[in-house]
Amino acid sequence: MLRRPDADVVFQLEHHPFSEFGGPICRMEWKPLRGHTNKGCGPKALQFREIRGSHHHPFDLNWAHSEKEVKRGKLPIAIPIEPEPTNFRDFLAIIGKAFKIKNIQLIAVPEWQAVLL
Amino acid sequence: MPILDRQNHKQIIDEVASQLVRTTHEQASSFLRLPLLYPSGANVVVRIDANDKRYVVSDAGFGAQEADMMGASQIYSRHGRPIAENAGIKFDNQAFFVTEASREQLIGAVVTVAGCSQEATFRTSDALAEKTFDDAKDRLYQRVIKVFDRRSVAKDATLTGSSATKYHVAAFVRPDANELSIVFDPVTNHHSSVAHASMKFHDIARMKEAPVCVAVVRRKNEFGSLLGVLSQSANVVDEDVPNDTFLRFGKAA
Repeated sequence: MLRRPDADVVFQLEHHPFSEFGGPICRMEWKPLRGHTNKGCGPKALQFREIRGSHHHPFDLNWAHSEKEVKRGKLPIAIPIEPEPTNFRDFLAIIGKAFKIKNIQLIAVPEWQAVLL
Repeated sequence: MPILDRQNHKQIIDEVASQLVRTTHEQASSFLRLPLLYPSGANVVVRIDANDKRYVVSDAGFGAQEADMMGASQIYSRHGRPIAENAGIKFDNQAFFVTEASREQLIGAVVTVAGCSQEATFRTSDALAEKTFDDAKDRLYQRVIKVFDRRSVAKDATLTGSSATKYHVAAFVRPDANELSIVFDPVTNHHSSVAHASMKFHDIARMKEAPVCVAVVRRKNEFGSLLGVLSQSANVVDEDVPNDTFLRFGKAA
């Protein structure tokens, strides 16, 4: 796997109830190389939207679209994060607010190193 | 009356075609973002490195990353190898790759690597759903042996229905001679789960000395109209009912 400095960072909150599929319930991605493309579901304004940069798979939008899918760990709808965070600390601040984690800045900035595994 | 004339239409389609694939060039590698989607909605990306005469094409482990986000890295590794073998490419548990593609082979190599990476993630997603159901069967068995004498409970038992079709059930209980035998099987609120369980319970119920069939579900109120379907062939109970409820099925008249 390729590690790219200051890019491709993913945070997700997961819920794993006792007898259900479980998995992520919301996810935020910072400068992903892969981007994201919404399918033809969710609010009309977001349908088939291609997002090239940082984006958020919010719980409420995906839950409103399909509770069943969210319970199976599927988050097909994303919205862009605008403006795009310029550094890791800025991204952490956004994560902290969205996931309600007050001391998220305790997370150290990764020792970026481009490595091909 | 069309909004656009033919010339504009062609121009737009050509623009769309040119935008379907995007390229990113970094110091050591180039990346192609392709119009293929992983289960999460992320686009499939292929990395291309070049040496003097040959190209190395890989999915850069993005398929593995997708599986990791599902919590299914091990399943992905298991599915990746046969997919790679069938396609004639390599897989190292993380990445799909072709190590020595010529310029003429480059397009085919990119398409093959991307297709394998995408297929492995979808197979992983499907397998994860099955594994979760297997886990549910195991949990149900563990619950049943807390209620009944362990020696009277068969795990993942095979029963032959009246049609001679064989079925697996999570737990089959043969209590005392005076009591009825019982089948316990988990059912989810998915259409296919209800359909399969209904067929199974109907066939088992027509057996000679048929056992009592019990469909164990997470919450009955999540089944909607499917509860009516399932109830036609089995007793349906929530998984958290008291032990006495499980015991009563063996004593039913």
